[in-house]
Amino acid sequence: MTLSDLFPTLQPFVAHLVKVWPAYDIKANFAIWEVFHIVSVLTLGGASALVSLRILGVGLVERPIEETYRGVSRLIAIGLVATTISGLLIGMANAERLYSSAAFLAKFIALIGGIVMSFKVLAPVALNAPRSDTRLWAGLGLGLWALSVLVMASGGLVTPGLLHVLSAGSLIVLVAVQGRARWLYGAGCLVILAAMSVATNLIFKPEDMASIDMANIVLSGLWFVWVLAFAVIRGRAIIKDEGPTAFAQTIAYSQILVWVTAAAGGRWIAFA
Amino acid sequence: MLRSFLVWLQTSLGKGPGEFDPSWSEALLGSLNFWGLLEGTHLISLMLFAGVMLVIDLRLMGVALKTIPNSMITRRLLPLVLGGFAMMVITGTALFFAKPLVYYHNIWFRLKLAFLVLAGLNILWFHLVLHRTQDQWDAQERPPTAVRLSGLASLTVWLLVIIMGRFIAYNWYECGKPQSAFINQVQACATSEQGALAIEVARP
Repeated sequence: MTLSDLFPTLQPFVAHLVKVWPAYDIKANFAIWEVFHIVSVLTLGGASALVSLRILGVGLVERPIEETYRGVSRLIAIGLVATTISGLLIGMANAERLYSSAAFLAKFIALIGGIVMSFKVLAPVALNAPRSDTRLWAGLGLGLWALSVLVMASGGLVTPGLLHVLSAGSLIVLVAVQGRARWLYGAGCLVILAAMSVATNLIFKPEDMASIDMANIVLSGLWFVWVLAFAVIRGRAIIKDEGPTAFAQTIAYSQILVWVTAAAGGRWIAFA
Repeated sequence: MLRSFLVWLQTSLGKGPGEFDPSWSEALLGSLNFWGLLEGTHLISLMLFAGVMLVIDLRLMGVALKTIPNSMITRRLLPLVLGGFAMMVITGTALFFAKPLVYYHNIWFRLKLAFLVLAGLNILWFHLVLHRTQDQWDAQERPPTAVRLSGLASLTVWLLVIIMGRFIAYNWYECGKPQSAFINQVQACATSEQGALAIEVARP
């Protein structure tokens, strides 16, 4: 699914965009703007990830969550403004290609979801001051993230990009889980990855794409269930220790993963 | 000698008996999805590494998380930075393995390595010199000038590493294109397959 599938009548407008200032100037210096965009995304993603990880009991655990949030909130705001501006500008300069890219549509939806999560949901959760509409915004943010994942899952060549989201999720759980459970969890992940590698490289022949796809889907599903199970176990332990609620933890995980989805979508524009 | 090793790495290592059997390096480059997953993972690791490093550097500069002592930030956040860095090194090495000769003759790649060395020297300076007096400035909202400069240097150098890394994808100065003798020299184009082509300077 691409923007050209959804809005086919916009084609002339999209083709015209590159002829509008500042698009042609940006196209001439595309690499510089691209770097600016990457740095903006990593500022936004890194700063907000610190807050999310703190909610999950990782990072600056000696200090309250609010302090971490207040310490990086300006960075999150700067990152957001820079990401939005640079994204719009490089998008204008590359409009025709992005218009027919499933990876871009996934990135675009995830980006909006990430903005909603970072500004309307993460702040009240981190400051422990939920507003009456926080759950509504959370529903919107999570819905947009789910939609971006769906676009990636149905995007043919871009679908393998979902492995980034899954592997990032499994790494977050790896740092969040503590004690012996971490070793068990890590070993389980390695076994699933090894099974994936054996199935797709040794058991099935390269031309048998249907079987390879099926093996990847089944084992990715198993991996997802494994990650989710340990996230729930860790989440219950956090709640038992009077830490953040299940809602706050869900926001923390999804807030990181929505940015990973946006980054993965952005990178896969080059491949699919 | 280094180039000969890279030629072997790219064309011979793991090559099957058949004439058209690929080497491991060629197989990696030609893989359907693995190459893309490596590049994507490299970028996402960068997000973790540079995103958190940025916060540590800004704290050293007295800009972010000012109420939290530097030692606590380092103790708690450095493992995340190191984890991100390890993933970057692993995926970066694999990416290099897929196209060693391209990277070897690429000016941006060479500059990236040079800035990585500078980043390492800055870390060394911090640990050998500034770290000794950390007790005195650890909790200060605005650390001494030398510490703030170290944070700024780290931020600048890592930013340059990222910029150089992104520029590798562009073929502005590819060997074989007419360009200045300096660029040809820096990239060792004369030993590349495309050779070194100098720009003809118009003489009056």
